[in-house]
Amino acid sequence: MIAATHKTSNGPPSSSSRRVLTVGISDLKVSDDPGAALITHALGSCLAVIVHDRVRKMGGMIHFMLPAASTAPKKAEATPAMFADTGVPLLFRQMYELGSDKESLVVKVAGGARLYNVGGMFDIGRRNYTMLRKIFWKNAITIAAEDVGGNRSRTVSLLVDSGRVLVRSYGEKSTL
Amino acid sequence: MSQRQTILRQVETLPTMSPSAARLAALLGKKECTTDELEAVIRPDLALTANLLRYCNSAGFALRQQVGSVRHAITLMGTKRLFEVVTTEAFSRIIPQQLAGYGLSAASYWQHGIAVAVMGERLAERLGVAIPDLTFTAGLLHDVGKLAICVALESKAERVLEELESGEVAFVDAERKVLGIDHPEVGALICKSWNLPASLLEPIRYHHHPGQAPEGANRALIDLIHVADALATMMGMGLDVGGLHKGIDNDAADRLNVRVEALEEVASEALDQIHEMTQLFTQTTQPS
Repeated sequence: MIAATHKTSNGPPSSSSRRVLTVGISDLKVSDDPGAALITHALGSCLAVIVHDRVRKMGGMIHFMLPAASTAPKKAEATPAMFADTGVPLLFRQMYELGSDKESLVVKVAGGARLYNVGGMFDIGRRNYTMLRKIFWKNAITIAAEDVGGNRSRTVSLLVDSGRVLVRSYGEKSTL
Repeated sequence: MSQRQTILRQVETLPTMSPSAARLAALLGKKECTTDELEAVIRPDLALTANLLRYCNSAGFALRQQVGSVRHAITLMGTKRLFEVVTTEAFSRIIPQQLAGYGLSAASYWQHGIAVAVMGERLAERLGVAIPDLTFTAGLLHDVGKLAICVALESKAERVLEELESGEVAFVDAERKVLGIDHPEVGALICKSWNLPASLLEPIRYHHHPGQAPEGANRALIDLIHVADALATMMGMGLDVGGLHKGIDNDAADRLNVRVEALEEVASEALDQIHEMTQLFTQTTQPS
């Protein structure tokens, strides 16, 4: 008898073994399906915040573009996940609605890259990160791990059961 | 044969824009052309006709009435917008599935062009600059050179990446160093071989180095495309292997008097339109 082969998933989540939920630009998703993976592609100066409830095995992710909803208040109403100050609180609220609590959440951050020569002036990545740190500071949330800044684009995935966060950039792969 | 020569050879073998697009470009370049003449070129091209009507009836075009005929579409759009839509449609048909050396899929490449086109126009609006003619088309086509470079780049991608790692280098400069030519220069050559209007050449040729544009060039158009390209890249729209290894030229930013707040406003307002326009032309024209 030939033994069945089992695929072990060490690499990025594949659609054959997992339900892959794609988080678009200015989008957020949460899931309590242990078989799911959340993924977001091509983070430039946008930031992804990845949250994982290590007790209940659930997770969420936001890919926000810009720091402040005051830039375009109407857009913020229709698409709160576009901005850090409307999107990030919403991500946490949706996790709590799923049954999570703040103490169980592990929070990771990726993205916020900058153009190689812009200095401070057009560094939207830094502006995003600064706003995020302010929000976290006010709400006493600590960042467990981050891969932020530089000139690389990043694709980030989260396995909902294990909480493993994988960051892929051209030619590089790392666990966060 | 040098890399440069191989790439120049590639320019000649690229598929050209559709014959109807070329004929329309010639017609619209004349001082006057009639609706009859335009209709006569468009109607026999069924794909173009279908896409034109779809565009007119899309949410982005925001008409209250249903547009059912080519003649009606021409009247409503005017010749300027017509040229843009026809070029967009023709261009969407010739994007390869993969731009190997750049690590770009057709969808990402397309999204980037649309993003720069839409953001270029919106940036002009936001800054109170009259939108220069051909802003949309220039944005859409600014990276056309990549179509001819991507094959040659594939075997050299490692070396270009090494250049980038060595420090503060723009991707376009690394490209030139390794290949002997860069995508803006190749893009301008493609424009010529496609007989596109001369005013499209400059923004394509100088979109990474607006300061190098000659006297008499349309600076506003070049600067707008330059900044919109940087903004689209920051927003992660169609990022390639070069990541964020490009810059914003300080002089171009000064000439436009643009600040980061304006960029953020443009990005937030443009997102929906970029998504819609990207979808609009990918649905029927690209099997993916």
